[in-house]
Amino acid sequence: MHVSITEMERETYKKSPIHGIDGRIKILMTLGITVFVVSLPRMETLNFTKLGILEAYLFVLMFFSRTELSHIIARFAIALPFGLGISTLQPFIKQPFVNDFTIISSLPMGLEITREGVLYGAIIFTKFLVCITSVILLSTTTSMSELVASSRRLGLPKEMAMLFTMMVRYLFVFWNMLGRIRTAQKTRCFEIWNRKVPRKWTLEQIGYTISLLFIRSYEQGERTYQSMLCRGYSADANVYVNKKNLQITDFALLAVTLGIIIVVQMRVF
Amino acid sequence: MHIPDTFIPLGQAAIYWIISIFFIARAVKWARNDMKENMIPLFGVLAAGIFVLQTINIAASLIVPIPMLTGVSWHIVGSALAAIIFASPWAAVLLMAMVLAIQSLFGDGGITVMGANILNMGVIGGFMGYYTFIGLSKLSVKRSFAMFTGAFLSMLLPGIALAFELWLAGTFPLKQGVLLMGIFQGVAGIGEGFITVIVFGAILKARPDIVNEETLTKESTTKVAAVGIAALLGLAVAAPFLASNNPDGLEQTASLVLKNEIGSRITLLFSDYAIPGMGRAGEVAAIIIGLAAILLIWTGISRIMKKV
Repeated sequence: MHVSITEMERETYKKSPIHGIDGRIKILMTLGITVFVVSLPRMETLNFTKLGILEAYLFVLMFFSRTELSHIIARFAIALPFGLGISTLQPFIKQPFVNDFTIISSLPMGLEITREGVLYGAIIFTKFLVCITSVILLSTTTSMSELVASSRRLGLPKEMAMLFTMMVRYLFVFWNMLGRIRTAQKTRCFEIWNRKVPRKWTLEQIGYTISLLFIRSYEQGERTYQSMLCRGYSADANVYVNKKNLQITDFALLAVTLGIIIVVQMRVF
Repeated sequence: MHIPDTFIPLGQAAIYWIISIFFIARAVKWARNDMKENMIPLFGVLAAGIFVLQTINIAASLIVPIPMLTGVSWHIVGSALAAIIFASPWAAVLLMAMVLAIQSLFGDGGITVMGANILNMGVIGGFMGYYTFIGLSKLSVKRSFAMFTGAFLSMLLPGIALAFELWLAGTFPLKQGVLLMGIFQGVAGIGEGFITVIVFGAILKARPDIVNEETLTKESTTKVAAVGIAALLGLAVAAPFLASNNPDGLEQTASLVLKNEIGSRITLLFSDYAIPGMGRAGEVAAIIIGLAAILLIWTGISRIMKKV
């Protein structure tokens, strides 16, 4: 499964009630949910109920965002492997914060599956799933430029805002550039995974591709910098961010999200 | 090598964030003050380029063709490369912080743990990669080898740091983590080393003005020594946790041949590299004292050699 940044960005330009919510609210929601999920106790079975409610809430929001199901599945497929890998190993590990272990099964080579390990692995994976869902919701309903502008409105320092503005603007240019380089290489029958050519030669070709992209991005940066200077850019320059008042729907969504977190935490169910 | 959310507890993640924010703030200051002009926009565009080139996945078996690496891939990180080209590790910190922030939107690395990821790839990768290159260059080692070693360590050491972070978080055992990350990141480091040498050579041919050669040759030895000492201190803290309790070959042979005769005759100051009664802290302290003693002896000898 593969999702390019252009496909990801295309999703953010859809019209939906969630897309229309202010970027600041969506950033705060994502941060709030992530921090809350990470702060949940490590070994509590009640976590599954709490995380289930949060995951269900995020999927409801995703449903209203009209994001393509195939896109969501593809995004999960990209994000999950590393987390899944470490979670899957947990049943075989003796967690240092657990005092007593109940062995479920003994395997060859001294491996043991413990009840506590299975529980911790399941909790850590469910937590990870909720965090990933909230990030996917944020990034499929908010364009990158809106994210930078919203971060600036939330107090991101001007230097960082400038850096991210430039980065986001040229991300797609270089993505397309890499696509063209790859197409050109394909027309010459170049294939990174081809084992019939010497490894040294393949590495050199990859190195030259990277050099090309590096030099092109540097030169684009120089041209951009020169053109900004021509338009009066100086060290004191600031990224312009228009004022944007929060709407009643923004406050409503924030209140609902906070309410759900509080309800989940207070165990009012 | 991107740690996802929930794999490090919030308290520890906050500490990594605080350390990273300090380094990011210093990196922004460097971009504003130390570069020839205010080239912050250029860095933004370059970060976009680095982000895209990190999407080029390369088969690990291309570097080391062993069955264990079948299906494993890696991509260039570029922290050592960026630091060497701009003649400053701060360039790596700044670029990696930006790239990791955007990657987190793809679920590649978490939000609460972004501090740890910046610390590993930007700070440890950038500083160790850069100062290894500078240090070896000062020792008149061939430039391409110095660069290869710097880039190799910029991949290996962040992997080891990650294993320690996951161990401190209670998520993964230390020795297995170090072993696995050592193997995978070591192989990726070989690739990173080759690619860095090729890319640097190509940039030097096409745009020699980009590379800040003057600063590279004038970098102070004190800074190299400071980073070296910091790395050794890190190793001193890590060593007792990684060391095996089993005797080495000589000890084993001696114990078989001489039984208990040696131990009763000699009183050692730091037996088994430890201060008795202090546990792990004693082992760390003993190694740090040993390290300090070696540095003092080395400083003394070098001063005498200079006078002679």
